[in-house]
Amino acid sequence: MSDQVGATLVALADPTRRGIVEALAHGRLSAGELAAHLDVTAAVLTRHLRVLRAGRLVTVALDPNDYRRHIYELLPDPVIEVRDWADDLAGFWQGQLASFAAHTEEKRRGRGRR
Amino acid sequence: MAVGEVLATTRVGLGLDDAFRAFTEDIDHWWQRDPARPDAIVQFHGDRLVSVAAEGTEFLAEVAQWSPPSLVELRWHGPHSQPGDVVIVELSPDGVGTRVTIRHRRDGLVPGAGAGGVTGTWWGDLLRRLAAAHPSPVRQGQ
Repeated sequence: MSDQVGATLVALADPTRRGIVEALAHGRLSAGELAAHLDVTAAVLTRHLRVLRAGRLVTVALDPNDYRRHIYELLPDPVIEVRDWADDLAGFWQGQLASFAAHTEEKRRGRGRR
Repeated sequence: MAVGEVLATTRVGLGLDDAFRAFTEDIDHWWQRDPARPDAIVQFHGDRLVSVAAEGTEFLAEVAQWSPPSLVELRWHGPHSQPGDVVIVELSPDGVGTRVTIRHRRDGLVPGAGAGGVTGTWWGDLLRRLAAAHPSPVRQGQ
């Protein structure tokens, strides 16, 4: 597992941060819109956004139409990396189970021949 | 911290007791080995699952719970492991056969992260929404 995947998993262990990521998956939002959507204070939101930015899951830019507003955006690459890593892990176990199932089928047929 | 899991499952044609014995006692017959250790012997030895080869013994897991014929819980140290990983093997009757389910649990892994794919999972749903919001940069459905 890469450091980025580990950092993403740690960042998303918190339900509020998962809520932020889910909200941003629909499109860019301002801090005010995020706070209202998640029903958290600005201070709490800032703390969680700092973790998500450090984990390179979220980026921020000034709204070109209103330089007082910060607009947050979800970066897809860390999410894709975790999805691919989880797929690899699921594939490893599914492969082991497929091998186990083939073995049990051989056993079952062996018994039937007796 | 939230604990999530990657899940894999299959159904086999043996009854519950026979399936448990095949999973545990026959593991050397069916375990897919590390290609670098093709001749390794894989077995439960005491409270450990080990892979024994000329190059040395590899510690794959420590048995945390052994409840035949329905459950084995392992502290996982084998492939794809991170400290604290737990692998739970559950066997349950399924018609005349047995359903075998493996849950690989890890801190921070969102529930339903994988199930032989990501369709219908938290990550899959997230990526679909991302793809809808930003059609070009998201590699959806790889």
